[in-house]
Amino acid sequence: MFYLKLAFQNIRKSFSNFSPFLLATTSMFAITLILSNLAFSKSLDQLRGADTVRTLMKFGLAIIVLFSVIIVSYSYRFLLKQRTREFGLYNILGLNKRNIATISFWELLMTFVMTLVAGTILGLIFSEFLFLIFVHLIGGNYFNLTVSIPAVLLTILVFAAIFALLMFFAMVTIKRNSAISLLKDNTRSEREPRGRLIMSILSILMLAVAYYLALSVQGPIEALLKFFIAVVLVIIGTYLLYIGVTIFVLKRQKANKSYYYKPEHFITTSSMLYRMKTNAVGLANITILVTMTFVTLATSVALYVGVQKVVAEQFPKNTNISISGKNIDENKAALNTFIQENDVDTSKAAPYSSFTVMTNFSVNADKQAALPANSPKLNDYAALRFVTRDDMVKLGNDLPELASNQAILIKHLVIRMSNQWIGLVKN
Amino acid sequence: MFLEVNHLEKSFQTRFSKEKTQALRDVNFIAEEGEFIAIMGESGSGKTTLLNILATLEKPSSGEVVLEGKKISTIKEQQLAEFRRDHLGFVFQDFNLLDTLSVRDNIFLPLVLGRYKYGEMAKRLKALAPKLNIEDLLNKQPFELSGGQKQRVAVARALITNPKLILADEPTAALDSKNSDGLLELFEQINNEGQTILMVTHSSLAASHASRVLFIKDGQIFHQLYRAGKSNNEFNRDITTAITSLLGGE
Repeated sequence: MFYLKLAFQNIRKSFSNFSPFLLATTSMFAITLILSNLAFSKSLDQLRGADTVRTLMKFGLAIIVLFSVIIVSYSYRFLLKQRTREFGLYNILGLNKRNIATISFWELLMTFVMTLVAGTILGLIFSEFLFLIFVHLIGGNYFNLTVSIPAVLLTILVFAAIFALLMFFAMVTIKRNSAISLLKDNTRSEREPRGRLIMSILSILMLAVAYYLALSVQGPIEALLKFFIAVVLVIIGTYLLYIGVTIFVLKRQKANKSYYYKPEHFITTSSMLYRMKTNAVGLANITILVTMTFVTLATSVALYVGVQKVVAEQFPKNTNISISGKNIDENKAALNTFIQENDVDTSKAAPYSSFTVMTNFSVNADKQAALPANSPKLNDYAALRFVTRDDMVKLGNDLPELASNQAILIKHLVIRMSNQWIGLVKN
Repeated sequence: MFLEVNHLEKSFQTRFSKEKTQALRDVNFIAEEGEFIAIMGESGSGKTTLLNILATLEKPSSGEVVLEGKKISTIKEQQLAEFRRDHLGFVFQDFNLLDTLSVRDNIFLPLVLGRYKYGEMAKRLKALAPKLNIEDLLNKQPFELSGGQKQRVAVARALITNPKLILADEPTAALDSKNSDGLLELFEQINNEGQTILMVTHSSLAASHASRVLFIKDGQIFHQLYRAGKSNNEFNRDITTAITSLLGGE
């Protein structure tokens, strides 16, 4: 209880030191909760394409968890650094290291509870809010997000693990820093960082692989997984870039005597070296956050603007009546009944029949399609929709004459478009 | 015998080089209760290492330190903090007050860590505050104080546990000459009341307030001077002469 009280006083009295850390943990907790709530909530089932949204949200969740670990441990180490002096004083004035570790434990536990309470409240409020925006963006009409208990539990569990990691950091710091660091010069000069060649190579390798993955993606199905891997690689690569490559380059510059010993390089290089050593992680954090913001903004705007265009193309007429079933004749009959019953004006109508199969096919360089594909790959799979040529022409497409037993392969989900035909299917 | 230092050796091996540095070689001295000892030496002479070992913050490579018949160099790590709290008082060069605590709470800190009752803490502070002339400062925050005031508060924090031995590491180094004088007079005063003090310094003026001065060079004590009733000025002159002739000037 004694240590609990002391820990509580520490947080209360040095709140200015604790507040950045609390802010970091709370906001990361809230963001994680928002994503997991969106990913796991039952409300999502009301939306079309719920599974895709879920999968995407889970990928996002994994990245946010990774990012939480980095941000939270960064801010905690910063807090610890400010407090080595305080811990040293405790050690000299009568607490042994185990007692100090106990205080740290209570401090962390209390921060955890505060994070939990504040983060859950914020997270739930904002997940409701963001769900509204999300539903509005995709044009749904279901605006009530039910809270997912497993999502809350998952977030709590993830952060319990992160805090356990922080406790480990604290224990290492307390063990390593003896009370003597107090008596000695407080502004103990920092050692010059080492070369970090391996880190640099790893960083460049990771970034190269990530960008190759991102740029070489062919189809949307493949994109999901590859893009996720690319994002994780870019995040790790960026950290290594700041921590490793900058130091490596600066060290190389310093080693080059004729370059280093010039007035315009001497001071900048040497001070940059120390500044990068202390600030690399912070700068990497900023870079990644900014990149994330850009990507989010760009894709949101692109999607939102694009939706209008897609809708206009997909639904060229004001009204679209479709009947689906396995028998074409039954469907036609049902459609006719519907038209008569509702007294629909069909003077401008363009009726057509189609049937859809999910299959794989490939198209070679001569625009000759093979169905099924010779050696199917992931990107060869697609939904094929069969429509007669006459129906297509009636819908306003300009198509070449076809011999019997011939089909044209048209790229896109949209029936009416100045479609570019990409292949011929024989037989 | 109050404090006994026998054949103390300490060598360092820094993490990044293989070279060994011999900080202390065969240091021996004896201190009686109620003495005010100044340890003088240049930087790198080993005086801070000696203080650290006496403070149980570092372990000697060989040799022993005995305080009132108890070998302090063999106390286990788990009990060390407790030992320091109950037997030693510390005054640092840069005060080391916690900015997050009020002056009063800073002074109480070692007692709080030792789980004293509040009534006892208040009683001790009430007796101590007038002696150090810090009654008006108790409710202030450390950042509101001048250097001299801060150091007086730090002395109060060291004295409040009624330690057997006060260890001071360059206590005047961060103070101007007026505040230095004030602090040293304070040290003399509490020493006159029976408090044993051991102070490390490189200033002969600071050392001239002590009752005995030990000179340390290259990790060895090679000379000592007793005040023997001399005034501060006379003693200061003696110390300066000793430094000039023995250390080759500074």
